[in-house]
Amino acid sequence: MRRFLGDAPVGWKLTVISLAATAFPILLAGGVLFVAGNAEARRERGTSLAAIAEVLSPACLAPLGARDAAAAADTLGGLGSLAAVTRAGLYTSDGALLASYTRPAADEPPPRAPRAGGPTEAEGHVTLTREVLAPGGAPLGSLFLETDLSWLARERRARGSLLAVVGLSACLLAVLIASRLQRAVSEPIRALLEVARNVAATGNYALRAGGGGRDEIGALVEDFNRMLAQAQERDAELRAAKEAAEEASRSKSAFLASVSHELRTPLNAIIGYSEILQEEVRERGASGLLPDLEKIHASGRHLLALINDILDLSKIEAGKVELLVESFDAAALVRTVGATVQPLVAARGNRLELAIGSEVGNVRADVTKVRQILLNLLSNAAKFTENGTVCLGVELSRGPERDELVFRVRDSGIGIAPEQMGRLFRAFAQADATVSRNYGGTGLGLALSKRYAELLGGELSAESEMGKGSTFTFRLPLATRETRTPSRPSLLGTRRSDVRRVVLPAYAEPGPDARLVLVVEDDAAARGFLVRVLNAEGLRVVSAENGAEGIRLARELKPALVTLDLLMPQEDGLSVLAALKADPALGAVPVLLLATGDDPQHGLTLGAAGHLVKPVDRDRLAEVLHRFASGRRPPRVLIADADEMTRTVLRRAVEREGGTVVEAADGRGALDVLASSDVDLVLLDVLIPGVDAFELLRWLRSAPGRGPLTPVVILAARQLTTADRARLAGAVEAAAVAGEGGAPLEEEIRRLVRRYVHADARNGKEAPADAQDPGRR
Amino acid sequence: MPRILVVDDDEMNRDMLSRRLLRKGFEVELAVNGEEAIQKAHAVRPEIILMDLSMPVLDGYEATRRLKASPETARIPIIGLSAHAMVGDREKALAAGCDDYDTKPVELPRLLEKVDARLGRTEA
Ligand SMILES: Nc1ncnc2c1ncn2[C@@H]1O[C@H](COP(=O)(O)OP(=O)(O)OP(=O)(O)O)[C@@H](O)[C@H]1O
Ligand SMILES: [Mg+2]
Repeated sequence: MRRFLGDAPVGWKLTVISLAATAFPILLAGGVLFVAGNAEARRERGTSLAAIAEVLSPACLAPLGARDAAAAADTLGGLGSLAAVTRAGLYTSDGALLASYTRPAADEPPPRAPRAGGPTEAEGHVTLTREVLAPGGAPLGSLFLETDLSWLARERRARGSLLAVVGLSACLLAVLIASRLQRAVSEPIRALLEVARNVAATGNYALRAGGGGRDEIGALVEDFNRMLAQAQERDAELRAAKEAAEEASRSKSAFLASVSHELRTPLNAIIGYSEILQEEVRERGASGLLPDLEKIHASGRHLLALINDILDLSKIEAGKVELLVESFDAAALVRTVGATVQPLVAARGNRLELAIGSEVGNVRADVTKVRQILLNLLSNAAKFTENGTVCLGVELSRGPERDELVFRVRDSGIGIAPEQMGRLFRAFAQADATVSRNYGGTGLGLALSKRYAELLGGELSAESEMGKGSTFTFRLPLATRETRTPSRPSLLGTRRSDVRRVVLPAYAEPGPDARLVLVVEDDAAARGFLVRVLNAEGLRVVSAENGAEGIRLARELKPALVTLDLLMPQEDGLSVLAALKADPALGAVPVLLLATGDDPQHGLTLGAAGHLVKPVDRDRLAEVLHRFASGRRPPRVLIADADEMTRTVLRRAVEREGGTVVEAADGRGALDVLASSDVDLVLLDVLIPGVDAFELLRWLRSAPGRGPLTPVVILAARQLTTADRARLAGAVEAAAVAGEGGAPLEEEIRRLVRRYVHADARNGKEAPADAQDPGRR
Repeated sequence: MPRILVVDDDEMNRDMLSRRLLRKGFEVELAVNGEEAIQKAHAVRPEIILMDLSMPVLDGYEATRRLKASPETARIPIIGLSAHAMVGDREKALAAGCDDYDTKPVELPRLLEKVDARLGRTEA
């Protein structure tokens, strides 16, 4: 039973239990009654036969005594009225059958001379034979009576059916009642389960289970809620602790950065003046002082290198390192790095070998970081090797997942002890104190190199044999970006020529009242680029690394423009866009999508104000920015409608919003305006004569310049058909139908003008609710 | 000898650099911030400018931008200098219009090489 019910829901179990509890007693009681009733009926039959015999015997005396067969038959014939008797016989004392009675249905005559006795039961009959005694006690003959039990079977059947009906109804009733009542138990459990699952799925410890009452389940619910509350508390504590830790780490980094800066300033003077002194001492021929000056100078330089390394590490840890990814020739890099370290290697009598694989060509990565890694490895190799060889090699390794460049720095130096291998890449991990005494250095080189290698999507590993030498292997993916987000074109361009074209704009500190742009972009390099471009345009920039942060910052800061990367790992641009547009406070903020192909069409229908295709062209970005975020000139609106009245109404609406208007009465005129000058918004009658409105739209969307970005609002006198809407999808920002939805057309147009061209009015200070107020301007 | 304008807000830095440059035979002019640098650049017409990039009043980036925007001073080569290359400093400097860039504390031979390259001189 338990196994059978094991996996069933609690409700089921309860129902089955009550059913069993009802059915078993009923069956048992019914069965006992049934059997007992049977036996009782049989017994009764026997006694009633005996009673009949008792009654009949005196009447048989006379016919027996006279051996009068006719009278005997007469006496027995009276039995016909007793349905119970099937056969009867009257026998003389010598056993001869004097008379007999047979019920019409019985087939056999009574037996011959049965022995007295009974009642006995056999073959569905009960028989009884009684001696008939004369008053003196002498036996005169005997009387045989028989009754059959077929009625009993009938009765048994009837009783069985009754029992079955009553039993079944009882069970049914039990199931019904149980299935209702079990809810009192199973519902709270189910609700509890629901909440538990929800909590597990969402991690939202603020949820609470309800119901339960005062029984054990209620107690369970209560305890569960208490546990949730504890978890919630702990969760909050953890989060707070994490935030505090992050904050601490940030301030630690900031502190380190500023301390290092403060340290560097006096250090500057120490290094500089010791250099000057060396020069002057040399000039004056007082060379005896030189060694001391050189020591001051060398220590200063050392201290500076140390500070710089610490600063670099703290920047990596604070996530502040930007990668400047570009394409470069790895073979050329190896050659120049070789040339740089040649004197250093030669200083201890070592020979430098370069080994450049024939397949090695261009790689996309941050060249400064790669160079720094190689220099660190080579300086170690040179430092820990004497009169040996240092080899710098690079080769291409094709792998199933990605192609890599493998840089190897091999030396025949002192090697690294096995116990040191484990902490080799940790900061300040030198073999022992004597190392720094003998070789200098601080033990930061490898730690930094490892972090840089990882930042570039590669890895750095070491092998070594004591006394024989060491080999450091740096694997660098051919395209740094691709390893992070696969098949994603770079914002900075994918070819070398692109990289050259990206002239980074001058850095400008925007004033405090500059308009604010929110950059939502997961890629650090792309983000850096955007921030610089935007800064150069005199805009303040806040950036977010992911969609959630972007939405949060947008709510908090109400930027004048949001640039949104369409392809982000956690939350994609479209859902962020949808969230921004769904927020009443942010709906009016223009969103500029940065996308890779034609996927932004989607975004436009979702409410994006425009899109740019990556790699983003700087001038184009700047142009769009000005349109959306600077808004220095009043917006120009093209009104293309055949009806003069409509044009006048619209003109008024636009002008009240501070815009200027160009009118066109037909499609040709509209085309001319669009081809010859820039407009910020087009209000286009769907039934414009001359050139079909759809044709015009197609032309505009494929036009050079900013045409594809110009918002177009379709004006229609009637509800647009589904087919029309399908043709317009993605090509227009809105369709305003005259007299539709309560708001008069004019009002609607003014709203649209505000929405699409008044980027300048949308800085943080203005609540969008105001923008709905018609009488404002 | 070429005239060189050294722009730095830190007195010791100016002193060090000017003394060493003087010894190398340059004629040295000094400015303590971007504004003065622009003034001096117009007034004394140096052959080359060594520009500290982080300075109060008007920083080196902006000063460079303005110098490069003015037709009279646009041709003067400018070498930007900043303490410890923060990532992107070099790019920022070049973007502002600097012709070259170096880090502080200066390594004189390297800096002189750059100066010479900009002045079109081989080995002074
Ligand atoms: N090629 C090598 N051969 C032998 N030991 C090495 C080699 N490279 C690194 N090590 C060991 O690893 C330690 C850490 O190296 P790392 O480059 O991090 O620091 P460092 O060279 O001592 O100092 P820094 O590079 O900061 O000036 C070294 O001190 C040395 O003990
Ligand atoms: Mg080292």
